[in-house]
Amino acid sequence: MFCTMQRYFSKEPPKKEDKKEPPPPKPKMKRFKIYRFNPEGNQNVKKHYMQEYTVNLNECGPMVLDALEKIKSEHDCTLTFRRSCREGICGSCGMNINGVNSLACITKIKTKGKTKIYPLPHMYVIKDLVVDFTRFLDQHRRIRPYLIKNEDKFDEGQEYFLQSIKDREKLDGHIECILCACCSTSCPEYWWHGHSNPPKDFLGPAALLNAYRYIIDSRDSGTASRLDQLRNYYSVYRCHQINNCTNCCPKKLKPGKAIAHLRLFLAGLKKKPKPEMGGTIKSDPEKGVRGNDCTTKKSKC
Amino acid sequence: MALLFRLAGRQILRSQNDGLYKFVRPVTLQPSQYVEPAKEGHDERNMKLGRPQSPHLTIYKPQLTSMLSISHRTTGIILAGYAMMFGAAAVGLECPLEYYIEQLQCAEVGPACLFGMKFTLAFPLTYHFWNGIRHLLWDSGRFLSIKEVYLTGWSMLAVAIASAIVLSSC
Ligand code: SF4
Ligand code: SF4
Ligand code: FES
Repeated sequence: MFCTMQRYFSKEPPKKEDKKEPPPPKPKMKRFKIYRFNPEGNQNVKKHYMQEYTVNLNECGPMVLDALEKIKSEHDCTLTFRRSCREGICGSCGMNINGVNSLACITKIKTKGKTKIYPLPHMYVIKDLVVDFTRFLDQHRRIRPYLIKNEDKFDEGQEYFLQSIKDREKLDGHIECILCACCSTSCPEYWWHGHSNPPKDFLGPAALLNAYRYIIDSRDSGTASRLDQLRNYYSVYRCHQINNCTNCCPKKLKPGKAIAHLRLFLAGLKKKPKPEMGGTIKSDPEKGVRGNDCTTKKSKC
Repeated sequence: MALLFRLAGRQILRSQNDGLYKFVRPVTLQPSQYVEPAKEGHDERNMKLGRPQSPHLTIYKPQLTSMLSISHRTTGIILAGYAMMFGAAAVGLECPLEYYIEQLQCAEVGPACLFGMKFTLAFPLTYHFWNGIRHLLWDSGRFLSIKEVYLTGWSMLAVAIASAIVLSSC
């Protein structure tokens, strides 16, 4: 944006006889209506309100985040939002844009009409578009997002767990979750039941997708205890397959599908297949394989 | 040197009716028991801080996914209502239900009106039935990509409406 402006201004003023100079592009004005809440405002009138900004799209990047940045730097420096990577991988900029949860940095600005921006729905607002993630992250913590091993014969930090390529491929579509909370906060069931007291709360699509990811991981041996933890009225079964979650996930994952398969696991209709490969390998490849139940050849490991 | 400064400092502090002593309060540090901060729930903490809840139902865009889900519930409620209504009618009314149906047929309300009445009875049933089958398919872990969800959603709607029309025109 800055470069284009620089280019625009550094040009010599067009001479009168030079008629081929194209006229400056007509400004494309676009209105944004943004949810505002200031916790440090007057204590008596701590109210949220909608504020409108007008941005010239010709001087602005293509994504909603670009417009927010422009508003913050040129119109109103008090506008608050989270962002970091600006390329859809950090999961900071989740917000409700035109009624659908998405990442501001990878959502194109619609040229027509007004764009309404709200914080993620049904969350406590800290300021403007920043919401409190404490509970969401706590739910993620409760599903134990790490490998659980029963045997204690491995050197932590010194060995790798072996996994066949095929088993690894089963995890695709689950490990890409960036915990942006778009899915959970789009889910009406999470609105109504995600807020009851733990552990009697609906964990929400994000946490359940991650729970499923560890349940189907061939290297994990905590399947039984993980499933037991979910076996209650709330954690999984509050999901009614609305599929708002799958509909809005910016990484195109399918939390709804993961939950359906979790239920198959819970009902005993689906079993975890035997891992194709087991054992560990020294983190130094020169030292070779130690695990004895490695079924394929050493070189393939 | 240090002594000099200290004396001078003391002099300044003492002068002007103990002026600066007002600001420099001697403090003795004492060990005290660690008091665990009160355990607050997530909600209590946020409410104490006066944080508002971000808007949800009112601003979320109505999508096929959520709309079909809410109407599945509504039709379920309507069906239960019908069942109770007819059950109560069968018990409470003097003549059997067939009598009233015949009365209705003789009343010549017009085919369009009759069709409308039949449709309002039939559609919740067909909708709930076909969408129920869709849910059963989902429960088996299939058709859960967004493309399939929308495809099954629209086709279910078409089938439900078509079968309701067939039911109400015969
Ligand atoms: S599943 Fe998708 S929407 Fe949900 S937290 Fe992960 S990346 Fe975000
Ligand atoms: S499929 Fe389940 S988790 Fe996803 S939006 Fe629907 S109810 Fe929520
Ligand atoms: S800024 Fe990182 S996901 Fe949008």
